[in-house]
Amino acid sequence: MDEAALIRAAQRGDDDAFTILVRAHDQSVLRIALNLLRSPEDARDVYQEAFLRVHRSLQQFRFDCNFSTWLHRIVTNICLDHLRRRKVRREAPRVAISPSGQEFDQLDSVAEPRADSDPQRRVLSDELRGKIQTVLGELSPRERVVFEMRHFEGMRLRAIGEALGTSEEAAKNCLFRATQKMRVALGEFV
Amino acid sequence: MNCVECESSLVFYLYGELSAETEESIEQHLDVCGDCRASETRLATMHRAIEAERLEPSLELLSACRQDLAAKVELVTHRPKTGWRSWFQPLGMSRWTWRLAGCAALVAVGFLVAKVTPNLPGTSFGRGQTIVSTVNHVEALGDGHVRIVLQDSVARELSGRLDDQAVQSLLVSAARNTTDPAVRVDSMELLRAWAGQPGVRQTLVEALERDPDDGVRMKALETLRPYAAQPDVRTVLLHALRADRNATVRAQAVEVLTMGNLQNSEVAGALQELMQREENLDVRQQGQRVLRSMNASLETF
Ligand SMILES: [Zn+2]
Repeated sequence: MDEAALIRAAQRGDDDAFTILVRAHDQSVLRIALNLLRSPEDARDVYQEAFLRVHRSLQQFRFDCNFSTWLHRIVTNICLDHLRRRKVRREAPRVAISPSGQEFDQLDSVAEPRADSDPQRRVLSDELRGKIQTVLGELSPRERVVFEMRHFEGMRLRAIGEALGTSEEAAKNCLFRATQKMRVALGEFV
Repeated sequence: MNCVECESSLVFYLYGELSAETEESIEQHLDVCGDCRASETRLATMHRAIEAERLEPSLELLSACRQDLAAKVELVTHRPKTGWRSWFQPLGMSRWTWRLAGCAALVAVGFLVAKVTPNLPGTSFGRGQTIVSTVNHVEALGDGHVRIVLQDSVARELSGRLDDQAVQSLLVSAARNTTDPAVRVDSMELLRAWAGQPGVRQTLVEALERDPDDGVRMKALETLRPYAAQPDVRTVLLHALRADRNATVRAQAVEVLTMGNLQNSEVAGALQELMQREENLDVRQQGQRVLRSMNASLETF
């Protein structure tokens, strides 16, 4: 079944269609949230909120853009809210609790390293990795979203602009600023 | 193009966001300018370092999210959804999985039979015992009477050590025959340390090949992981990679088959075949990554 048919079925209240739709996109949604917020519990909240919003407002989806663009818009908005709240409160990511109720020792336990990134990880010093995380945390929420969507999701600037409800040019400027900050901070390492 | 222009465009050159003409003039400049080339190399190194920071959510987290959502949607719509249940439960393993402290843990096996009927009057076998009944036959007798034939059995509880042969065979039987997928998953978890034994392994191989429940097949796959080099396990993994209907199972099969030194032309062939019809983006990406790292030809797709 193609996606448009799935969406129409889900709009008519077909639960299975909605579920298939969710499953086609939810790994990407979760990955975006987990990377942006670096907290499995927050990512779990974002996942839930995003798809509940989809469930609530799917009726209003008019096929004037890709479903994934629409979904990305929802997810990035929720993540932006989280990041802005965090900036205001200067709060650290919440303590991560596993589904079984245990605390995660570290983020690694909810994330599977990618096969091709392993050698890279070994080569790079922990210091560099820490530095990257620091700079990511210091970017403005918007810069961070643009930067990660480019680097982690491989999205084109145009798609990023669409997801953020802004122009390609604005996304480009945002990305440039973020990259410059990264270059300045990592200058001594690379 | 001069160095200043090159420097300001380099970022977007690496992002692949420039027009073909600009790209070409950058490349011409890079050919002749060592400084800008060094700059490009540094920037590319930085990109790789950043990309290595990307986190992949674990299946456990994904499964927890799916369960949250299913429960919440059910609440919102005020109607139980069989569709939701059957779709979302498959990955809900964490809830079921017994957390055992070491292999000396005691194991209790009960309720191996199909369905528990609630409080049937006059069928008590004694205090404190649960009656497990299945209906074998129903028939109208006229006058508004019906005849129902029940097969009763009494639930018994037994405990023993995991290394006890009898306990193991009960667990193998539970992994194969119990109708509740949660019990099948729990049994496999308990048998994990014995997965190297032929009887247990055969059970896991068959579960991965044809258990109707996605979560049970995932569990079997995960339990078989240390034995991926064995021919029978390898065969069933290739089968899962080619034919499993669940994308997560296919993705895991790709991962297990390509870890360590298991890679060979057979796996590469199966992967390429998979890439030709795989529709799930995550599985595709994972397959492509693996193929690239195996230096296999990507030209076929
Ligand atoms: Zn130059």
